[in-house]
Amino acid sequence: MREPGVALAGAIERDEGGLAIVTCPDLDLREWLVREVESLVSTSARAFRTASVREALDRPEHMALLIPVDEAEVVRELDACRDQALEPPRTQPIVLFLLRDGDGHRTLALEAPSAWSWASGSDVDPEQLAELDVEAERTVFCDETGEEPEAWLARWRGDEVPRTAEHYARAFWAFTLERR
Amino acid sequence: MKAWFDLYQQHTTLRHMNDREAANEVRQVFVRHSEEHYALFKRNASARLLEARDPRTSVTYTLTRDRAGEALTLDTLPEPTRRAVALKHARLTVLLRFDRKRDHLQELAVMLTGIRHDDTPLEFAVHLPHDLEEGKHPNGDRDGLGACGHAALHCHVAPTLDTEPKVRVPLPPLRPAQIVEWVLSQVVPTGEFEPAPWLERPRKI
Repeated sequence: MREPGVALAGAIERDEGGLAIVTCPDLDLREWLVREVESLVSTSARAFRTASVREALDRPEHMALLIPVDEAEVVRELDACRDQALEPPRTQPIVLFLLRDGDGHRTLALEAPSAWSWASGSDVDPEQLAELDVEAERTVFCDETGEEPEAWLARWRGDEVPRTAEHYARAFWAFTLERR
Repeated sequence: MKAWFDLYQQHTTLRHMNDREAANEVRQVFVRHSEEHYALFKRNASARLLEARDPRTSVTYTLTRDRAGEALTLDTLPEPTRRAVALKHARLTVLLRFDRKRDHLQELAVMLTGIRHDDTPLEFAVHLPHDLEEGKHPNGDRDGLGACGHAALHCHVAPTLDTEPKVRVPLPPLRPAQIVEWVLSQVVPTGEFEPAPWLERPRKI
């Protein structure tokens, strides 16, 4: 699986002063994703929350966490004013939070080619990436250890495996993948 | 025995927490320790706390995905901090398992594997065992004969985790981020990591 935190940090840092899009499944999770971004970024980014494109553009040395009230309108506004983000050059990105399958994404795909190209490659859906594919991960586990998670855990629970940090981590993962 | 029973109750109460909030607190510890001249981690260590959601309601956070742990950048610490550190290499592992629907911390392990300057190993391991009571683990987090010797949230410090006696030191009810801070403060003992408020308030004689 791709690491959601790494993908999120990568999208934000890919283009210094660029536009990154974080896709959120719903409004409740959007708030958590905003907090996650706040917890990930360096204090020197001086991240702040705003619902206004104008305010985001006016503070090029701060990371703007752009949380729209009207997603479609915000995307259109970004599309119209990309040039204003070039002068003075931004040193911190704008991070735009959009709902999955929402108006913002629809507008971005159909009406906002400039904003789409601005964000090109810097969009991420961390909640989707965090979804565990248990069967795929079981295959990886078997390839790495030569055993099914249940067989490895049986040896661990029987004190047949030395207690090391690495083995604790493997046991933790095996428990996650164990069939119950 | 009441104190030990109370501690067990506190550990049980501690388990009630929102996983996203707890993970964000841990990330903030990494961010704080990745900045300035005394950085202990490479940049983006906070991003490497891997969230994985299991369809059977649990969610896990692991640092790091490859099980080797996140390396501490001890060799780039400035003097005199570097000289004060007893380890030449160290790696940190964080494992958290939650039942998201219940806002419940099921299991925790924060482990630091180090090599001292004389090339001997040193391990720190803070554990909060899984409290699930099932066929393979009928006692949940109640190991041993009583709460005195077997506090649920406890720490081992030894050359290896198999070294006898396996000393099990009880810990107060600390949240995951506070445990990470405590483990780091044991290997990098500086005022910057561990500000001591009593230094600013001299003891009254």
